[in-house]
Amino acid sequence: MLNISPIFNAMMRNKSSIILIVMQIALTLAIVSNAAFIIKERIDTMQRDSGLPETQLIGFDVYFYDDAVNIANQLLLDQQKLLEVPGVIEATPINQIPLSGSGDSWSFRNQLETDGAISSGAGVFIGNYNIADVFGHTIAQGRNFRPDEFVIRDNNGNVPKVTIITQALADELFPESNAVGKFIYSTDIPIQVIGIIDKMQGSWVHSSLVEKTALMPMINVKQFMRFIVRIEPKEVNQVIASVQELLLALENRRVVSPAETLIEKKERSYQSDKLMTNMLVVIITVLVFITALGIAGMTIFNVNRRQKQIGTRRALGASRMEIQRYFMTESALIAGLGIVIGVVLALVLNNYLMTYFSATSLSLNYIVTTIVGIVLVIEFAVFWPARKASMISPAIATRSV
Amino acid sequence: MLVMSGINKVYQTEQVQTHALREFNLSVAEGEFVAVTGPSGSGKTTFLNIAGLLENISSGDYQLDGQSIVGLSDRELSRLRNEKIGFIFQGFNLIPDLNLYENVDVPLRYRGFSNKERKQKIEHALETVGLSARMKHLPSQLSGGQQQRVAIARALAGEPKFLLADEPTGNLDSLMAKQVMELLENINKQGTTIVMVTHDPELARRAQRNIQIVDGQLCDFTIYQGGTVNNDTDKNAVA
Repeated sequence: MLNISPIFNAMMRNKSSIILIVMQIALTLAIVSNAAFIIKERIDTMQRDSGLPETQLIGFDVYFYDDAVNIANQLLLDQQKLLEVPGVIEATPINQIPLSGSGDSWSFRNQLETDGAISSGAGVFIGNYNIADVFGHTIAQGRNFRPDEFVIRDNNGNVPKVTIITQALADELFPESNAVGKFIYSTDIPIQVIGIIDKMQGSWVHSSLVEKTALMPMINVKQFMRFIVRIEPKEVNQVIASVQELLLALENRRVVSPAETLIEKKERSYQSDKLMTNMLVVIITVLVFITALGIAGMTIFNVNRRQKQIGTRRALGASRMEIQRYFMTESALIAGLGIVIGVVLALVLNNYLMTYFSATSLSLNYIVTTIVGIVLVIEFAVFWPARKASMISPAIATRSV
Repeated sequence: MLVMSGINKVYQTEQVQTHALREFNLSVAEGEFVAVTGPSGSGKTTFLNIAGLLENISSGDYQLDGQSIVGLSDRELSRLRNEKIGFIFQGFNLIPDLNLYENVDVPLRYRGFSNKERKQKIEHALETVGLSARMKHLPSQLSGGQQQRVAIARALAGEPKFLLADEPTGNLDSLMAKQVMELLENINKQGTTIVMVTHDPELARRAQRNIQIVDGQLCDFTIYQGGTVNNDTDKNAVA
């Protein structure tokens, strides 16, 4: 027998004693459901497939401080020497390193005329003609770069005539037709799409352009350059340890940064997400714990305050189980009130986050899961005080004090 | 209605053993109105608790309405209390957050009556004690006498065979006490067995039988009937 209506009526006659706990449950539900949703989104973002063999790729920076160095020649020599290192599969000088948080993007359109063109930004990776091989890509459609398509751009204004783009960029620029063979434009110079790769994330992991990537066979000569190297998994540490010394031995009028794997660069790029996820987990844990403590404390207080009442109920025929159920039902009703208000607050909070922080719409699954979690935690927290109440002797009813 | 044979109740702490009742024998017939008196600490409350199935006995046998309570589970004892016994407490013991209707409803809900049956019984019980017009009031809105009448209505609503009253007028002024006693007498006249613990000799005198507990034993056995007084000093007498 649940006795819901008299329990509810009694609660409503004592609103002040439950209003704080109801609000606490409501706020917990609103915050926890949104926080859990944000955590899941961040984890999904961090676990996205980058389309790259992250454990096999290392990257490092090279800064030429002496103008006397022929940078283009030196970079090609470096590449050649790197390819001779045991364990190195592919290497190229490059303008940016994927997932690193630093690099270049260009804006492309699908026709020369700007009027009526579809345009999209894209991360542009510029390296030797083997650039797609360095990243371990399979050309899904079209073909790979040829050596003769490689250009060196210094002050002569050379630009590549061909590009390989990701499927995401192809779909954006040519939504209704195959992009292979089509021309794209960043300036008024046509660049032909000769191949499509399935997936490759660019440098900015939080950018909407992250999946829109173009590869070009070119060295854009600058003082500040980078290298990307693909290595046999077993040899990664050894190559990382030797690469600085190797390049400085070839040319010491430059600074070569320590090499890092893409895993390390990716971790750094997602550091804020990880920090936020950890913080939200702590907040959720603390909130749920405090709510559980709050309702357990309230129940303990009520049990102590109502000892005589409990004894009287026992004298009037309530079994131990019925007393326990009374307090469990009471806490469930309080949780229910908190949940009703909490659902509204959760949606309001989500709306606020959507408006001011570009959050996405909260999935109802998170509210439902949070509700189930909160109810379970509350009932667990109340179980022992309720059990304590059930152990109160009915003989207490006849005590005069 | 109530037969206690050789009942002992011992409270045991780490250092002290207290015999609250010793070889206690008592029989109360159906329809009787018995008053139990005795000095403080004599064992009256223990007797009341045991008679009301609120405490277990240490040894002996207790039969309530022909059923031995020895060895019954908590659930069975609760069920028996609910069905057979109506309690009237000195402090009324009404639940302050429930209105009169809901207070009287408490034991009926534990019994599992239907909504319709409960409504009928609650209204009838409150009418019997003259409070049917105030059923939506909270106990705090009533006088002491009215609260005790509600407690009596609560005790009566389930139509128990046996009413246990613990100092039912202890917290009332003399006028209110008189009204409550008249109510109890009327209830008894309709066939309900009443055992009433009281300090008040005047009230005890209005019962059909008066027993006294001293040092955990039935010490004095007196019957007041139509002004005739019989004293029986035989300890542990059985009526």
